[in-house]
Amino acid sequence: MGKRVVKSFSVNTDGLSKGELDKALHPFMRNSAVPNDCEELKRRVDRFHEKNKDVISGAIQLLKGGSF
Amino acid sequence: MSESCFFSKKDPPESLAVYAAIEGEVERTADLMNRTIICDQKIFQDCCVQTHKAVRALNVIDGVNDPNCLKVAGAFAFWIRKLKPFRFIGARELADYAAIGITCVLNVELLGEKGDDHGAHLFINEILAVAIGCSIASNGQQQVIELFSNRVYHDLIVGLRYRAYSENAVAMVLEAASAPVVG
Repeated sequence: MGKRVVKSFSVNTDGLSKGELDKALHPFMRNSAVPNDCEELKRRVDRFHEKNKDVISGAIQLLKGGSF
Repeated sequence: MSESCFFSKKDPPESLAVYAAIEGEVERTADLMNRTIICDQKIFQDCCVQTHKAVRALNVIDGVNDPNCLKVAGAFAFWIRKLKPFRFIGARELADYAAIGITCVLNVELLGEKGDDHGAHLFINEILAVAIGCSIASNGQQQVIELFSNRVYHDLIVGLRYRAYSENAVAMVLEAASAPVVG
């Protein structure tokens, strides 16, 4: 019986070329109204957490209390 | 295997720029959960690729050249929730890695196999999906989640795990919760 080879997980690029793949890593790609860089994403993530930390921690506390 | 543990990397490669942008939120969530979170970078990369494809499909199907942030947010949150790149690591697992020569610099206090959170740790991907999705959706004109209470935010997290949501459905929830910034 032949040796069975199990391939490791690889990203399904589905036809995206190398250049497109790099661009695909920007969530704001294709939105010309938003700066197309990850600094903007970082700013938004940090700002969102700062403004809503009570809501986020409150929701997590509900989960920790077994409220599903 | 070491590749999936971002704690071992000092300088993430360029393709991980998105992860670097959200890393702060991952760390804050880890603090709130009192656990250590690791991210499988290949799965995370797949989340980004699938988001890109979803947004590109909007261009093809609907003829939308510039999908707004809510659609991008909905797609990104959906794919994080679906592919689940984040998980917790425990002391036992770390010991297994050490046995085969893989070591990471981690906060040992956060490696306990704690069982006192009633399974809240099962929702880690959904928690981060909602947080990141809402972050992307929040901009100068639309401030998502101002209308969300703890309960609604919690219900969205739980719903993402146990109910059927599409990319568009998540985007619609975020849109419904958006309120224009006044003043």
